This record gives sequence, structure tokens and C-alpha cells, in this order.
Amino acid sequence: MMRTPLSLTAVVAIAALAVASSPTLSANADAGTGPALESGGPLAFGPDGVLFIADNQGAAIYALEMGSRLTGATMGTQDIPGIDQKIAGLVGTDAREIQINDLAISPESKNAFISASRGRGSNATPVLVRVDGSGAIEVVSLGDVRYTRLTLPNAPEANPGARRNPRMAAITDMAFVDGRLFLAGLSNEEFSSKLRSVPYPFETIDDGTSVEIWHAAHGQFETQSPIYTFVPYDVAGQQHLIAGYLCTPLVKFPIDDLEPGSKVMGTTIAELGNRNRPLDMIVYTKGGKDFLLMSNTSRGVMKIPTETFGTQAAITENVGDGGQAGVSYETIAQMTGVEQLDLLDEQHAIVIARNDAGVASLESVMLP
Amino acid sequence: MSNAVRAPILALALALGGCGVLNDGAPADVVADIRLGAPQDESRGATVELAGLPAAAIAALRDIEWERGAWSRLLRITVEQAGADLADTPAVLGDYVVGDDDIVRFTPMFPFDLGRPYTVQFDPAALPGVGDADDPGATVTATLELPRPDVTATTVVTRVLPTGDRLPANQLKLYIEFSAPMSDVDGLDYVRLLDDAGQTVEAPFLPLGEEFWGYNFQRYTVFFDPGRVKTGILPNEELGRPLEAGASYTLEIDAAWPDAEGTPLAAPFTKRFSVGPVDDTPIDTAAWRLRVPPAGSTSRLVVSFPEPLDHGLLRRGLAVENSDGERVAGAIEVTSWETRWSFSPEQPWSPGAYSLVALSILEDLAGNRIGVPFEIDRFEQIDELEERDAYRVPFEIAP
Repeated sequence: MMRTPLSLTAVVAIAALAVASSPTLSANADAGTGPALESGGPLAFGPDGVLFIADNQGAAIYALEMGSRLTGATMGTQDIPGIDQKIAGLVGTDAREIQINDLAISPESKNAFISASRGRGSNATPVLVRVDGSGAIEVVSLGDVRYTRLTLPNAPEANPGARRNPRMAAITDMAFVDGRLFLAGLSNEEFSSKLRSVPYPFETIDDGTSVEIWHAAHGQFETQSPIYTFVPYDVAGQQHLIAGYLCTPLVKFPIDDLEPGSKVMGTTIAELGNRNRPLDMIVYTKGGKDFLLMSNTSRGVMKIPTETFGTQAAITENVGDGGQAGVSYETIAQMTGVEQLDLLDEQHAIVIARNDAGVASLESVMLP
Repeated sequence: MSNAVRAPILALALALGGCGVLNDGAPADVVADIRLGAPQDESRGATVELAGLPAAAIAALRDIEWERGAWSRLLRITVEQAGADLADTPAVLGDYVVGDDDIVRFTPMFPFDLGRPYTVQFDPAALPGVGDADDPGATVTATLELPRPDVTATTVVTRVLPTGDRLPANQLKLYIEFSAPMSDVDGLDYVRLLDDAGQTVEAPFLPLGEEFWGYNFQRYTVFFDPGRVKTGILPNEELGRPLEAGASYTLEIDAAWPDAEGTPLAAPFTKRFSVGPVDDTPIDTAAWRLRVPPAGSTSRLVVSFPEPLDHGLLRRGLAVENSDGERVAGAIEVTSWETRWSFSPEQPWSPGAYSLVALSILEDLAGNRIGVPFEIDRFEQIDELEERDAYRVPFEIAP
């Protein structure tokens, strides 16, 4: 076992949380080598070659100290048609047994990292895949990878010692900004959204900041709508998170306001239509202007200029017919079936897009 | 089956169920046997064995330091996928070892799937010291498959919560419980809501993705679309609520829903229910009735609610606290269509003051919380709401 200052701070943190009033929450941080992930969810790159991966089944976030594993033989990421079939081939199963959970491009090597599962349900095994500039596809072995792990606080539980937390608290997205890892999550029992921030290196997790937004399509402020994807973005000199919610308000939060236990009013700056779930988003610059690119389950890929993010009046009225209001957007017709997005360089994004036959491909695309 | 050397391991291989060995094209000078072998590492399952190689080749392979790519040119294992070209499919990842019994063994990184065919290609031309690189076309191909055991479908839906047969028109969610772990496919593909006339209700549920499993994949949560449950908003105005007061519905769960083993359910499941008026009344703890047990007993404290509460939240949202603010250890039971919560203490009750602690997460069937209706416009009223984590209902155990 490793003895690090980290575990000492974790003990202190637990003691501090234990005296908090009910509901009981506890968080724990530890370290080791060779993480035993129960599942592989969202990815985010951190400082110094760290790759964060959310383990929703294990209710934990791992910071993997990847070191040289961030780099394959060749810089960059080559297009891989049928990436799901290729991963399935490597791990000896059918593409239908492969779920692709997230895509992240290493800022250092520009290699693509894919968080996937082999199999489904309780028999699923997490698989981390790296694709490099020569098209080599590697399953990254984590056996000798050092990690620190943050176990997420238990769900509110009136009875300490009750059977294992029945609530599935799924992390839907993560981003690392200014020394803090931001986590968006939702649960299968409380139809609510939690946005948490954790300083890295891990010490403890706060009790989550309850996030409320004016959900224009639903005509009321909601804590009861999940954040599916978000991105850090500087609006008028202040660091914000831009979050995409179910059915599909776009909301900004100033990061400084996200203090433990506080209620934060997000500002809804766009209403992008109901019957839709946002999947992934990135921010990029083109022709001197910034744009947000967001993929969706049923409304394609949207290109949203950010120049009015600071000045757009908050949407506080019901949105009628068609369900679109606030900052404008353009749907990128040539980008279809996009499930995952990440920025490769100033001109390109890497996407995982599924065609009509259900085959997923890893592709570099020009930023629109 | 080829005329290969019969190593003792073969009996075990057959016992494991290695089958479908279809060697063809074996060159006259190398008689190889390709077969499934016993696991070398239990967590990685059955191996592929290549036996019957000439002694010189075995000796050379023992000393060789090959990368995985070179090994897979000698013995390539590929999974057969519908719609994928085998030549385009990468070799299955795994480790190659030459055993003391002169057998080359491949252990896959992940266990082979049951009932899935794997193509094994052995290229004698790649054998060190034996092969003739100029003699292509001598590749031996076999198809191996671990038999899929005869599985009888046994997994069933044990219940759908709420267990009652009357729901409010703004019912927020349903829990579907299974007798065994399930596969995390999108459950909405297997769930239908039918109206009185047997017509399918259009899009009643929220397409939340595949995240909503709990209890080790034995409970699936289905949310009614809140855009249709809440009033005064577009989907609700266009389509109305998915549930209409006064009507009856049938929830149908398709038996094709695969469990964790990929086996369908033993039977479909239906739940019929009628729908009452919209419930927009917050939970009022003052309306709860407590049946308080006598001191010195381990009898149950029984709390009755005037309406059913959400089962998932009820399981963890209520507790008993003594006068020192300590939680009393005991067992919980939720009965009577989720209108009754019982608590049996581990130790006999001492006389004195206690509190029933209700966390603010508690909800009724329509998402109304203690003192807070689901429909509240928080933009207008948030400052007036008292934010509390827990509410306390005092009671006294008489001496």
C-alpha cells in the first residue's frame, strides 16, 4: 500500500464531513497501482499526463497517471472506419457488444482515447483504447498505471448501514479547469442534476452544488433536469461552464459561484428544442470568432456563435412553437450521426459518427 | 479432426466443448491440431492450442522473442462478426506461450464469448526454421466455438413500482424490478404503454439513454416525459399528458428484453392501472399517522401515509433518531402499496423522545416533496422556500 500525504488529507476530510448535518455524505480518496475499474464512463484530460475516467458502477473517479501511454508510435489520430468493429475484433466479440462511452483527444500526442465497454450490463468490462496517427489501435493496459481515486459521496441515506446504495449516480460529463475537475451527474431515483467540483490532486468532494435553471421549454425553474454535457468557456473575462440539458436548454454558470452547498442560478441563453438530448460539445475559434459545436440525439450537430453569450438576456418566458429561442444556431447538415466530439487542432475535430447501418467510425472533420 | 498428436490436454479440451474443428489445406510435412484448450488463467477462459508442431520448430519458438504481431502471423485468431470482413478485422489480443508439453497456447485478453465462432489461421510458412516463406497458400484454417449452454429463460419481472393500480395523471416514474441482473440495453425498446382501446400511447417516456439501472442491473427506472407531465408547456399542450385522468392503461414489458446472459425473459409482464386526478399537493408530514410501540419491545414503529410515496426514495429517505440525535439501527419494510413504512429496531425501544427523520428527497408518485409541489415555479418563489435537508416528526415511547 502506498502511504501518501493524499490519504492523510482524505482522512481529515471524512472527519469534517461526518459532522455535517444529515443527509450523510462521505467521500474518500486513495491511491494505488493497477486500477480495477468496474465500468468506464466519461473521460477528461488533466494536468501532467493525467487522464480522468469516471467509473459509474464503482461510484468513483480515477485519475490515471498515464505517462508514456498517452503517446502511440505516431502523433495524431488517423480515421478508422468501423471503429466499433475494430475494437470488437481486438477484444474478441461482436460490434454489437461494444458500447462507446466517450472520446477524448490527448492534448500532448493528439492520439484519440476511447472509453468503451465490452459486453453489456452486469457482465460488461471496461476497455480503454488508443488510436494513433498511423492508425494503430491499442487496448491500453492499466495493470501498472498509478492512480488516485475519489469515491463519490453516497446518495442521501437516512439509514447509515443500509444495503449498498441503490441509487445509480451516473457521471454524464467531466472537464478539468483551473485545478478543479467539474463533474455533472444525474440519478435514477431523484430526477435532479448535480454539478460538482473537486480540486485535483484529490482531497475530498463537496456535497454538490444544486443547480437550478429556468427551463424555457418546461416553463419553470428546474433542479429536476439532467445536465448531459458541458464545456468550460470564458464569457466576458469570467470563467463559465456552458451546459446542455435534456430537451434542450443551453445554460451558463459562472464557475466562481459554484460553492459547496450553494444554490446557483444558471442563465438560460438558448432554448434549442424539446424531444432531444445533447450528447457532446466543444468550443473552437474560426475567422476570429468563437463557436460552440454541439451534437444531439435528434437535432443534428449545432454550430452556435458565442459572441452573444455574455449579452443574451436570460430566457424566462415559455417558449412556444418550434421551441427555439435565445442565441441563434446553424445545423451542420454534413455532420450526421455524431455521437462523440473532441477538438483535434485549430482546424479539426475528431468525431465518432454512426452511419445508417449502425457502424461507428472515427473521423477527422474540418471545423465548420 | 486432423491426425494430430494427442496431448493429454485434449480430453479436457473436448470436455470443455471444443467443437467445429475444420482443418483444411494442411501441408504434408506439418500436421497440426488446432483446438480449444483448458484455461491457463481462469479469469481469461479457454485457450487456443496448436499442437503437433515439429520438434525443431518448437525449440525455435521457445527461444524466439516475438512481438504479438509476429505471433499472430503464425497463429491468428479472429472473431467472426456479422457485416465485417474477416481480412479487415484485427487479430484478437492475447498472449502466446509454448508449453512444456510442446503446445503453443493462445490466451485471449478477454474470455471468448460462448456460442461465438472464432477463425483460427495457422501459417506453417511462419514457423522459424521450418517454414518456407515462399510457399504461401499452406495456411490451415479452423473455426472454433465454445458451445453456448442450453439456457432456459428464467429471469422474470418481479414487480413494477408503484405496486398500486391507481396512479395520478402526473405520475413521474416507474421502477421495473427483475429477478436477476439484466443487460443494459435501452429498456424503452421493450416497454409499451397501451390505452383502454389497446392503442399504443405515443412517446410517454423520456429517452434518457441507458443509464438508469440500479440494484446491480435488477431495477430499471422509466421516467414519464416531464415535458408532458408539467402543465403550460409545449409538449404538454401539443400532446397532452401521457396519462389521462379517468382512463385505464396497460404497461407491457416485452419478454425479448435480454438478461445479463443475453437470454430473454421467461415471460412478458403486464401491469394494468387506472388514472386518477393530477396530484400537485406537497407531502405534509402532519398527515402521517404513527403507531408507536411500547418500551422494552422490538415491535415495529409503523408510519402510514395518506398516499403512496416513491418506493426508491422511501427506502432511504426515512429513519428514526433518538433524543441524542443518534440514528436507531433497525430494519425497514415498505408495504401496503407504498403507503406504509415499518421500522423494527435491533435493540428493544427505550422509553423517551424520538424523531422520525424524513429527508427532503422524499417524493410522492408525482414528484411532490415535503412542502414543495413538483409544479412549483421556483423562479418566482425560491426565496420563500425554506431549504432543509431533513424534517423531523417527534414521537414518544412511553415508559
